[in-house]
Amino acid sequence: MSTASAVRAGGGGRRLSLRWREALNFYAFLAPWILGFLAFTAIPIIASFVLGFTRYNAIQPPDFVGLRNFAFLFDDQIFWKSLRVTLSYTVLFVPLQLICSLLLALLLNLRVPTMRTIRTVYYLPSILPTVVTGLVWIWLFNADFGLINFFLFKVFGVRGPNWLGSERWVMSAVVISGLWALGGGVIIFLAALQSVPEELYEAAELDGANIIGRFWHVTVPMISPVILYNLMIAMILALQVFTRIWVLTQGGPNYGSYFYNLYVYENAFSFFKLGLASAQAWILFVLILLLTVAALRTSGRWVHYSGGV
Amino acid sequence: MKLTRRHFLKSGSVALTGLVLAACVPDSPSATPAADMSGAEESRKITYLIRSDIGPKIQEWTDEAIADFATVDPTIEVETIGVPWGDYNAKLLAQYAAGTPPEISANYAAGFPTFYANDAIVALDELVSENNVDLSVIEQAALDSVTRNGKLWALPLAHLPTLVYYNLDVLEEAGAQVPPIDWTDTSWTTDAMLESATTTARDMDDPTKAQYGMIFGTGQLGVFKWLWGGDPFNGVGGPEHTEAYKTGIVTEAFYDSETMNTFISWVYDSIYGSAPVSPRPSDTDAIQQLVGWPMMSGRIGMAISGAWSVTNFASVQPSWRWGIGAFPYGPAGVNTSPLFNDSWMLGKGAAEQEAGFRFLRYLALEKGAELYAQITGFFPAHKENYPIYFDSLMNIPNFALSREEAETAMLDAFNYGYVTPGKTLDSYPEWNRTFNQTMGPIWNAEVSVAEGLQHVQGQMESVIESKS
Repeated sequence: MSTASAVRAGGGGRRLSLRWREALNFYAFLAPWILGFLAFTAIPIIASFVLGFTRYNAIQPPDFVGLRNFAFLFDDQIFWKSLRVTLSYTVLFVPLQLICSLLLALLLNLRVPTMRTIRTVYYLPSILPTVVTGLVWIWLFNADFGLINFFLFKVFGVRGPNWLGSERWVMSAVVISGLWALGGGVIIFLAALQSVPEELYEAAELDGANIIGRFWHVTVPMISPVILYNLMIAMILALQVFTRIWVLTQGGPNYGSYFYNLYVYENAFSFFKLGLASAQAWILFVLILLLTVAALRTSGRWVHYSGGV
Repeated sequence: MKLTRRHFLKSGSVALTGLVLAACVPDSPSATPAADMSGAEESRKITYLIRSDIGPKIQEWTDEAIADFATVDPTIEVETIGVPWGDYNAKLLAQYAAGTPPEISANYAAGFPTFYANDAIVALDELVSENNVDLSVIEQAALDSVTRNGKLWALPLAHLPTLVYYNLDVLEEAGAQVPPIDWTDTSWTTDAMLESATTTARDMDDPTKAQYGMIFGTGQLGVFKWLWGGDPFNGVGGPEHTEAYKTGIVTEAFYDSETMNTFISWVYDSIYGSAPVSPRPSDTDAIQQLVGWPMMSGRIGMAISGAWSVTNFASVQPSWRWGIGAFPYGPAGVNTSPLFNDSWMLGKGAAEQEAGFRFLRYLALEKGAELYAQITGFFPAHKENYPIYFDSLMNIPNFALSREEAETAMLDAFNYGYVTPGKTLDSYPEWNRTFNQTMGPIWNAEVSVAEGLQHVQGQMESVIESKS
């Protein structure tokens, strides 16, 4: 062996050893996360998929029933009602949330004194526990003692509805209570608004664009990727809403606010039907996946990426 | 060797991973060989699932009972897990799914029939006879309520009748009839109760000032229909005709029957009739948020509730005089009231069956039961502890009855009661959910009673069909 090749071999050996050391370090650092992911996410996801094809009550071993859970659900009135309630809420709530968040972000983007304090105040509801805010909303919506009906009566002379007790009004109440905590979306919009280059507004102004023109032709296209992001997050969260509704109405009256996840939860933990609940969870997963893909597919028509992507 | 930052982080990660893995390894008997080797009596650990939201008294009783039990049998270590009512089933199911059911749990969220139907609890008869346990000290009706197919599936600690609670100051001031303590008094009828409530009710147009005549419970699957001579699950008569209460399996429902319509209309009229006496659901919710059980607002003449509500008086200690009375006789000439029980079960598949039963015996039959009567304020199923309960009842301020009167009102209730469906039906939470959801439009006056009941019936039939 020549001297030159020995060096290459020696050098190659050192390189291999370094790579191994780095790989070991990599997996050692990653191991806690991998273990956690496997134990608390990956394995439960796979298990829930398998359980969706079984009759399982957590006490007895699962019993394979094929597609019977899915057939039962597609024939179940409450399943369809819960789906209808959830989709109605999503259709009502998501656009309202996006519009309100954007408007609020525009206001919070103004340069006025004490703006930092105002921004903090508007973000506060987002960090309060949902159970606590839910209890406050129960009071606000109370038909006889609630502040909302008191306001309606004092200002408009109208006797307000039984917000949480009436199947006709409960969805409005749920949407209104959801609009209260806009902080997360507002922060993202605010960051996007602040990243719109000032020169674009100046150019639009020179071209004679008024404030509305500047908003439609500069602001909206420039922040459209963030609108898409907020839209998808809001849609996914709306389809999975649970805690606030559980506190406010427990799904009533007459299933008027019986959201999909409430039915999943009750089937699993109140009615001992974990197999059925797993099947429901997978149906919701497929639904969210389809809606997300649809949103992404149509985004090409209205989302503007300044990098040209 | 020099400890570099990289070495430190790497060793830290490996140690953390090791810890995570170690935490995932379940305890095994071989992990505690010391007791075996020393020849001392083997130490056993049992798990006891308790409710954490019934108030501090249950916790106090649990702590005292466990501390005392440690002196009775030092070889058994009791580990408690506290969860609120809403999470009780979920926790229990998680424990079963993990293969580690608790030795002891109670029939709170789902009654024992659900666990019986799922083969999740142990029949206690063999353990009872092997250990020569004397069950005659427990109220027979309470034992019957946890017996199925001739076998005993739980041991009751509390046996709770449904009573009429009243605010004596409010009733006297209005000049209204006070509910009697005598359960045989047939002059105390639903009409007499309504009349008394009407005399009491005032300012009903203004919920901020209103004084309500009565609150008539609207849940429990409509079993107050019993007073009208019917039952939601049979078309013949009272609960004694309902097969589902014996088997746990519901095969038919009668929510759109004439009897049900008459009963629900009576309650509906008490809320929305020309002379309302009861708060509307939204008012009840508001009062409930303020004071918990609405009766404690001091603005209600009479309320129908289970005997557990005595604990409200013990904790709130109202400034007004109050009492308990008999259930009214309904149009069918009966005053059948729902009976409740809180019973403790032994989990099938739990590691320490013998030790679990030893602790269960302690709780239901020994000092644990005595402490239960003394501390919790729940009416005990153990007959010898009745005096302890009545002693504590007489200590609650402003209780208007003498001890003898209280005993009559409470004890005679058992002769006129029937076990509530919540403690006899399999999958009760599902029946209850269906009933509560579908009754909403009636209680909120959005549909007529007849229309609403047809809807309830339809939904109940759907659930029956789904189970067949």
